[in-house]
Amino acid sequence: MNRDLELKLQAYVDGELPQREAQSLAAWIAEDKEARALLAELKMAKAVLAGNEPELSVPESREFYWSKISREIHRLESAETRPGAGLWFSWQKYLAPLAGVALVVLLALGAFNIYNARVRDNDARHLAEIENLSEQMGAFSFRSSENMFVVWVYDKATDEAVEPELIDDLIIQ
Amino acid sequence: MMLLKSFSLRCFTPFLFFVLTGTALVGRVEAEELKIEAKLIWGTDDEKSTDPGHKPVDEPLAKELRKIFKWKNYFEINRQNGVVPNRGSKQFQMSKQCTIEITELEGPKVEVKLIGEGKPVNKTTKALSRGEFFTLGGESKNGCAWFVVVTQQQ
Repeated sequence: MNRDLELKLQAYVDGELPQREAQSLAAWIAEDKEARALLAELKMAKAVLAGNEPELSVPESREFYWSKISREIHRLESAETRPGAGLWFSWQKYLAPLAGVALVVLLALGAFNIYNARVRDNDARHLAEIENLSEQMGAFSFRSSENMFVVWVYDKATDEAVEPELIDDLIIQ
Repeated sequence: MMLLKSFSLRCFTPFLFFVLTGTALVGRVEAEELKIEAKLIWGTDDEKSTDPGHKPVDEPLAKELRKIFKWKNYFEINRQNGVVPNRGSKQFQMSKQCTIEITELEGPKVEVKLIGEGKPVNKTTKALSRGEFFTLGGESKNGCAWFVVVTQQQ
């Protein structure tokens, strides 16, 4: 007996077949021994199930209980239709270590940036750009010590000729 | 465990945001307003200033100046304190004839412009660090000298 006939027999037992088909199936059952045996078995199983099916009661009302089921079905369906969400959840376990690594890298970059800025500033301390804005006046600069930077302004008309000696004249050290 | 996961997820984004923002700001904290003190100083060989109101400059600065220049005594004529705003300028009038204009620049650097009798004379751009004396000076006709010493205050 094939699977279709078995299912038809089940439908026959449950009273789900159209009348005409049920009649032809009844005629076939009467002639087929194997079909009769299966029919008896199915009827017995149905009787057993019908007599022993437990009746469960829920504390909520029928409508409320169904609404919970409905919400859960809806939630699962919407989760299935969001492929990105699944990917996001699969990445969750990597977030904590990634955050740690990112923090270490950022701190290292920050420290390097500060160190570089200090070195750059230290170099820049000794550099100066001097611009004379008056045609009559000249200027030169020098650093006498770590803490003293001097821009000496002089009158070109009176001091230009002796400029090389000016420092010697001014500076005693 | 679920609570812990949920907590770590909720905290992760703002935490990373703060770390990134903080790191980005590290390079920007150097930009600041400058508290400046400018002194107009007179260098002379005379023991006393012509104006009895002029006091000798404090000894550490006088020592530094004596190390470099030939004049024996240094008197403070005027002192100006002011704040140069971040990326801004401020003028310090040291005397009727002498004004300096200080501009805070990127770097951090300062631009010090010397203005004599209303006309710009000289412009110097350099880094200015705390504890450093930035000195503008020149010889006057009577054999004395003037100095404008600029320092950044703490």
